[in-house]
Amino acid sequence: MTFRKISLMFLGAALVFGLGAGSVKAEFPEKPITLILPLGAGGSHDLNARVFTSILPSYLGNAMIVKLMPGASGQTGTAAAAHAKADGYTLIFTHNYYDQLQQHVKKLPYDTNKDFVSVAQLNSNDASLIVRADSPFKTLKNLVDFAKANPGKLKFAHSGVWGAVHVPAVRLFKEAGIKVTMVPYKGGGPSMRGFLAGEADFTLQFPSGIVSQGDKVRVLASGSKGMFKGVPSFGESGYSDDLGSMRRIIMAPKGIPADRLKKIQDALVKLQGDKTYKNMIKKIGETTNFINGPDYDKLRPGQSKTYKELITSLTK
Amino acid sequence: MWDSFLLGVEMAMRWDTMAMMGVGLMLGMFVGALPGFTTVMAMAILLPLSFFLEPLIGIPFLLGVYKGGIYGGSIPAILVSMPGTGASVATTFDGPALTKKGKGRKALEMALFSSAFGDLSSDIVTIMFIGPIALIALKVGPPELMAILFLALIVIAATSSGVFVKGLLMMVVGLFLGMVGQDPIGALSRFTFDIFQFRAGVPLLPMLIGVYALPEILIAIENRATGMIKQTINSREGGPLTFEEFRSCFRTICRSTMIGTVIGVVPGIGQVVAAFMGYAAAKNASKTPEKFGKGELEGIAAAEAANNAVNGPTMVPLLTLGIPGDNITVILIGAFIAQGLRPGPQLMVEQGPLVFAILVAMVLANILFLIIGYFTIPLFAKVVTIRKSILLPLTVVFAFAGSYVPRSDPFDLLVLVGFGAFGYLVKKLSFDVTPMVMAFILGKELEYSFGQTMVLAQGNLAQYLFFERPITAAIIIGTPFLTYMLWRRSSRLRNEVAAKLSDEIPS
Amino acid sequence: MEPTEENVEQQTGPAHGFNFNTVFGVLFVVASAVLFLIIPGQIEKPLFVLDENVNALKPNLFPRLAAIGFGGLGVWLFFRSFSIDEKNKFKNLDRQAIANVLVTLVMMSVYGPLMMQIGFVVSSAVVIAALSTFFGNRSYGLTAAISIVIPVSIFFVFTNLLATSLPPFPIDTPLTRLYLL
Repeated sequence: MTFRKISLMFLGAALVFGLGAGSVKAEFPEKPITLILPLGAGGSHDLNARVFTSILPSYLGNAMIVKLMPGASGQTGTAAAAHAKADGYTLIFTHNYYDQLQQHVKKLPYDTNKDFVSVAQLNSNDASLIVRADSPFKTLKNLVDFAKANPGKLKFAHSGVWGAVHVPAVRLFKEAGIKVTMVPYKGGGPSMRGFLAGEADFTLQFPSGIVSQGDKVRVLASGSKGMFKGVPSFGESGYSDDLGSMRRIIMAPKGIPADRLKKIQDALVKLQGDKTYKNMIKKIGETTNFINGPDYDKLRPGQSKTYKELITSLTK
Repeated sequence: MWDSFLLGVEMAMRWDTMAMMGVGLMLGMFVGALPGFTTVMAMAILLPLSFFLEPLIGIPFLLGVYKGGIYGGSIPAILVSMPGTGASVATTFDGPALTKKGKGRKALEMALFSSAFGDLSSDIVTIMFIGPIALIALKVGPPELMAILFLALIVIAATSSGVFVKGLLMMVVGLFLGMVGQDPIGALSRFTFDIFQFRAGVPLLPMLIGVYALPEILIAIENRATGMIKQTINSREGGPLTFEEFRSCFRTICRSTMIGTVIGVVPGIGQVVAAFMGYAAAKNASKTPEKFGKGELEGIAAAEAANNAVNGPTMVPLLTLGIPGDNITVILIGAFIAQGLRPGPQLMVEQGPLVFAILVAMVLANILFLIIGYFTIPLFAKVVTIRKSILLPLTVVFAFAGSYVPRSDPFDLLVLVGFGAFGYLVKKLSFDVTPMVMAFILGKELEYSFGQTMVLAQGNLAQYLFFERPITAAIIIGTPFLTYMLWRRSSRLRNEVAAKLSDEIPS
Repeated sequence: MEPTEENVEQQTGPAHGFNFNTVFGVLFVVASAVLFLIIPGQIEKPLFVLDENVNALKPNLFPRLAAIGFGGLGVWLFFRSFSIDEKNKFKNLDRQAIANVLVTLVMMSVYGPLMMQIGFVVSSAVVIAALSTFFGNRSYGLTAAISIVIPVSIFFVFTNLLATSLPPFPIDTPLTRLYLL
């Protein structure tokens, strides 16, 4: 037995003991968890992420670092997360349209159904249909009737193709059997400006954006029942009630160890009871419609089917 | 209105507001000075901190980060030719040249004074005319944006250095690079050559750092034996800015401030466009335009005053309509909402004094910044006293770290080196990279706004523009004349310069 | 610095006749042709057509304009090149200078892959030390100190204080643990 062999043995023993000691002492997460955002700085996802990652560490036991990876309608960040190690240290904070709709309209370098498992839905939000206060339309029926008589004449402002405003709108137009001119804008802010300036006749908007406009806008149909006093929801106006919610979701690469997934989910559940979190999330105008991972995973095939039908129905 | 204003002034005059704003300014300046970190990133990181502060501390704190960050971005642009955003590209024309002459400190101070002055004046104008500006800001839509972008590209081409047609060619190269990725309307992939990373387009920061900072290093290394080790800084030249120097640029600063304030009502791309327009106007008005781009303090003043003067008016759509015009105001809206304040028409009615207090805080931030900046600049200016054989490798490391950080994609490092080599190559062959970079940034916006205009016109473009968008129509009709004028002027200038030189240097 | 350097060149070298700008004129015309050829293949076909896009901008309009631009301007540059007084600045470079530039470029190209393999801190230390020595710095103590201190501080500030990420590996855990302090 040479000196080299002995030293190797010692090294091996040290490694085994070292690792053993480590695994006894340190549990998951041993180091900060990276949260990939497939979206840019300063958007609503970024705001949400900043809020919950600032409080979550006290329930998780380690920090959560936001990693912005915008670009290619979310594909850059999503691909990075899909190819990341499924060890629980990489998660992605995305939304239902990137998760379930995009696969039907584009060729993607990943398969969200095969590559990801849900951690949880953090919150969701429904858009309502609004017109300016000086608009001749008093009800959704007025608007639909006008659009039926004048196809393509009305202009509708949206925040980007296949986005949170565009999808519920095209579903509505399909159900109502109307044709309007769709004007794309770069995000929710610009589309609201275009709408207020009179470039478009109507738009869809989330509650926080509507409330701040006061009496300058009128809601014709709300995204969910009782959202605005005295305004019928889409369902009450004769259309699908769930035209399309914007759901902010956290996903993990598939193959993540079950105990680690559970640990993150537990931390998120505890977060829902946190006063500071509730307070802050309310302040930035979001809901706390939390859905835990296993339940959310059950919703995904349904979403996919709905989107697929929607898109087939729109295809010439 | 007047009462709310006075109340607002009273509310803003608090020592703790000032103190936190000062902290914000310092943080913003240091983060903004790091390559790869934009003001937007600095603000997003510090945003949650403001949630725990009361409105009149938290929001001024973020405003401090904002203003400090924008100035901070010009520090690496001046010292090592590393622009962090499109807005500080125009600063790299004269900044690094001044630094090489040992006038780095003067350049930094000129940038500080003209930034603060431009910002301060535009803030005051904003407070005085908040109503009219709000109206205009609301009316500036895609067609107007399209016309302004078109005009800006023409001005940039006409003011590029060297042969006109080569400037135009580089501009088309930039347009093409801007098309790589996804088309703006339908999000269909274009020119990705089956490389996945190109689906997100060519990343801006690695490109900026690549074409501006790396060629400087490569040129310095050409004769390393002679230029590297010995380095002399003329102590008089290295001193602070004199009042005389500031005064000689004052007209330029005022002109750029006006240009910046007007462009400020255009949301989004305002700062990039303003810096160039300011620079072009100063060069045009100067008696010695041939000195621009070779280390002229006036060039720094022109660009910096203009891009900072944009800041005041961009706050208007946020405060009066509740609509953020750019990424920075998106973060501010988050801060407002988190404080229980909802920007929009209602805010002005219900919380008039508070809105004014915030605007007054913006004004005060500039004054505070003059003081803080003045005492921290000597520290930054020390960078130029570092030996070149150490400074250049450090620049390389910062360039790489700065290119990696925004997207965390190793591919971006390849892009950085690629554009570095490209920048060096074209510099040697007398092609100007600036029209390329600007066309890259503005071309995408131009295509998008053109697409929007097409949809808005509902199939009848001419009728739409002439009857519903007269401003756009006027700009588009005027552009060919302006182009001709600029072109004639610049070719005349070139001839004059050539004539002057042939008098001076016997050939 | 020598502010007159470029101007002197303009005076001395009126490169009449065929020159590098002529070559570029031709190259841009070729680029134009190539671009026209690849446009159809390099623009993704939509999986379906929405019936709303009657007036919409086609994604191939701007690429075509760029191709036309390359062609037209290339021809312009071709004819203009005979009267441009510019010198190919590569001709001023001696062999040593070209070697210096190439070595630096190679180091830069290696830096990226190296960073992904052995992490930001170690690769940067190597690059600083190598470049600095190559650039003529002979105070090795200083070089060593800087090549350790600076990458570690950049790593700490960027990842811990500013919450972004750099390739970690070697000193991943100790530094990131500081986050909790």
